[in-house]
Parts: sequence; C-alpha cells; structure tokens
Amino acid sequence: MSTCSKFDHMLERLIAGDADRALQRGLERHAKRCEACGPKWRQALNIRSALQNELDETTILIGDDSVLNARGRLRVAFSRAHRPPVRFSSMRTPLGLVFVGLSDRGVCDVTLGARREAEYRAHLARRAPEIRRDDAELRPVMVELEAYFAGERQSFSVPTDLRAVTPFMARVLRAARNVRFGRVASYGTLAAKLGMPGASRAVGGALSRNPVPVIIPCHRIVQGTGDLGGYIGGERMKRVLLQLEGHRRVERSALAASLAQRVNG
Amino acid sequence: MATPEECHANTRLREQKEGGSRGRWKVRCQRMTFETLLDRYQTEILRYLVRMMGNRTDADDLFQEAFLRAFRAFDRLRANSNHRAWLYRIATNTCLNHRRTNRRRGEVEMLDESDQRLHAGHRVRATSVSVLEVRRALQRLSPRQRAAFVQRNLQGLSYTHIATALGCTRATARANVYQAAQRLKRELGVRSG
Repeated sequence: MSTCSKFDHMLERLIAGDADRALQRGLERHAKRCEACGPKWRQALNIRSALQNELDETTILIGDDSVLNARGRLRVAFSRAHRPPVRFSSMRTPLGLVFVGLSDRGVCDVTLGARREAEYRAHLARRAPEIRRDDAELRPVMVELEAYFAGERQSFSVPTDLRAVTPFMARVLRAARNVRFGRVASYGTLAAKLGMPGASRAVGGALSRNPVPVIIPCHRIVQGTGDLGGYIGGERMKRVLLQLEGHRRVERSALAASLAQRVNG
Repeated sequence: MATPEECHANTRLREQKEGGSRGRWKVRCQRMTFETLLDRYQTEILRYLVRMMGNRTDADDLFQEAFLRAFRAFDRLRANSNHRAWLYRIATNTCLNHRRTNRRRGEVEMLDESDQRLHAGHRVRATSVSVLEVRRALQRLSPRQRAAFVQRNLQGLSYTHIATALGCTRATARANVYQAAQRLKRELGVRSG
C-alpha cells in the first residue's frame, strides 16, 4: 500500500485531516513493519492528537460568556457606526452665520463661526452618514433661535440629541442647562453640583466640546474669579451672548459680583 | 437607529435543499436576517479569530470590525451564496489587514490560559505535543497558510468554502493547507525521547 517514498506525503495528508479510514489503516500497517517510518507515524499521530486537544481547549476557553461579551461590545460598536442622518439649516445672527443640525431625536449640532455651507458639511460629514439641507424641517428651531437673539426668548423648548457625547459630558451639559438666562455660574460650582468638587477643569473640558452651544448655554459658565474663561467660538462671542442676556458690563468685577449674588441668592 | 436587531428590512431569501442530500433542490423561503447570521456563526467566528490572532484581545477587536464590515456588505450578498464562507472571507481579510498594519508587535501574547479549568472533568488525549506548542507553531505559519489550515482542521470547512474564504481556487486552498501541514510536521516532529 504505502511505500516509504510516499509515506511522508501521506503523513501530511493525515495532519491536514484529509486521510480517510483506508489511508489511516494503510499507514498504520506500513509503520508497524517499517523501522524508519514507525517513529514518523507516531509523531504525526501526536500532532493530530494535539490538534484535537487544541480544538477542545479553545471550545471551552471561548465559551458562551466570551461570545456574550463580544456580542455586547459589538452592539455598542453598531450604535456608534449607525448614526442617524442629519438635516441642517443656517441663519445670520449677531454671532455671524450659525448652522444648526437636527437628528431624528433633536438638535445634535450648533456650529458657530463656519463661514460657508461647504465648511459646515465637511464638519458634519465626520459624524453623520447622510447630510441634507432642510430649512422647513428646521423652522421651529430657527424661530426659537431668532427670538432668542432678538431678546424675546430666554430658554429653548426644542429637544437636544446628546448621544454623540460621553455620559460624563452629557451630565455636565445637562447641569449647564439649569443655569438660567441672565445668571452665570463658575466651573467650580457646576462641578460641585455634579458631586465632583475640584473637577472644574474636567467640567471646562466637557463644556468646551458642547455640540449644541447657545441652546445649551455653556457661555453662562465663567471662571470663579470672574474672568470670562474660554468659549467654543472665541471670547468675543461669549461676551456678545452675555451682553444679550443683560450683563451690561462683561468684565471681571461685574461677573464676580454676579457669581457672588448667585451664591448668596 | 438601525441596529441589526431591528433591521428586518435586511432580509434575504435563501434557497435550501430539502429532503436530505438526495432531495431535489427546492426553493424554500427562509428569512435570513443579519441577526440570524450573527446568532448562527458568532461563536465559530470568534474562535476562528482567536486562533488566527493567538490572543483574545485582538480577536475581540477584530470580531467587532469583521461584523461591522459584514453588516455594511450584507445588502450586496447574493441570496444563493454561502453565508458561512462569506463571513470567513470577511474575517480572514480583517485579520490580514490587521497584520499588515500592526507589524510593530513582535511576539504575540499567546493564548496561554491556565489549563486547570479545562482539565477538570475533561479528558485530554495523551500526546507528546502540548496545545501551547501547537498554538505557537500555528502563529509561525504565514497568515494565509494559517487561515487555510485552521479553517480546514479546526473549523471544519470544506475546500470549496476555504477557496471562497481566501479568494483563491480550490487547488490553491489545498496547497496552502498542505504547506502548513508540512511545516507543522517539520517543526513539531523532530524531537528526542
């Protein structure tokens, strides 16, 4: 049946898992008679057995719990990868051109300082698979913004979509939303309110990445000293917004006084 | 938001052979959602990736990447193609790409977890070659050889399916498996006592 010259190749077939019963018997018969081929055959069988052991071990190691874990993480990855389409519109304001993006759940983006539509589209393209201009759909949001910039409205009723931010950022932004029109708060107080005194820098970091400025009034958060602090669209915009909200003099002493008033009140 | 669980629009009709291997080919309508596909093959694909990468962390990452890719390509999958081989193809390509971009790591962290849990109540075949040695030797194969050999020997795919998964002919698939077997024989074979 098998001769020594073919034997090596036949052993490869055995290791590859392609040897049928007849071939296996033939190999065994030859190996028992031939001194040179016997050890080779036994070693090939050892490799086969080790492969079978590997099969069993991995089956146990990568069991149901591993699969469930992987599946859970896959679900998270899916929700990240399948973001909803965004419709947008724009308007002229005292801050310049403002673009507003709307997802299926609410306002998901407000961009200050984009000069052209193409620029805004490029900015959105990173986070939404589909972008479309839809002035009619955005009308209710724009009406509220217009009223706000005209000084006729103090808060917004449109829903926001904060799914794109981390849970911590979402908490900070929700807390910032509670600072009312005409008031200011410091980064430190906001951190304390969130139960994290001393985390004012983290709070500042979260606010600096507010996806929906103006609607979530992160401009109402200033430094504890009364200094203005940074703003997404630059310090000038923060000043304009605070003036619009009735702070006649947006400077250190006045803001410090407002902060103190807030604490006392 | 369209997660695969909700995505029932993403259904496929699939032809199935009825009445065992001798039955006629009949078209039977079966809803093949991405969810069904995931349920059916997630375990074996995860094991395949662990064997390809030699460690769990990379395998977990690639598991996500592979199924995300699969989900995006699912619409383009023809109803009569083999879903299992198709998934293997995506998983294999994900591995090969990953290897190409992650040359930095030298020795991969081996799947070397304690065997105590395994050996309790589980019969292990007596052999002079340890499982760890097998895994190391597999990692030393070229990625394509490893893919072919693992699919054939540990995942139980036919050569036709391996050819689909590797994007080559059946003959090439077979050649890859044999080259791997030859190399394993050489590396695990010669030893004293």
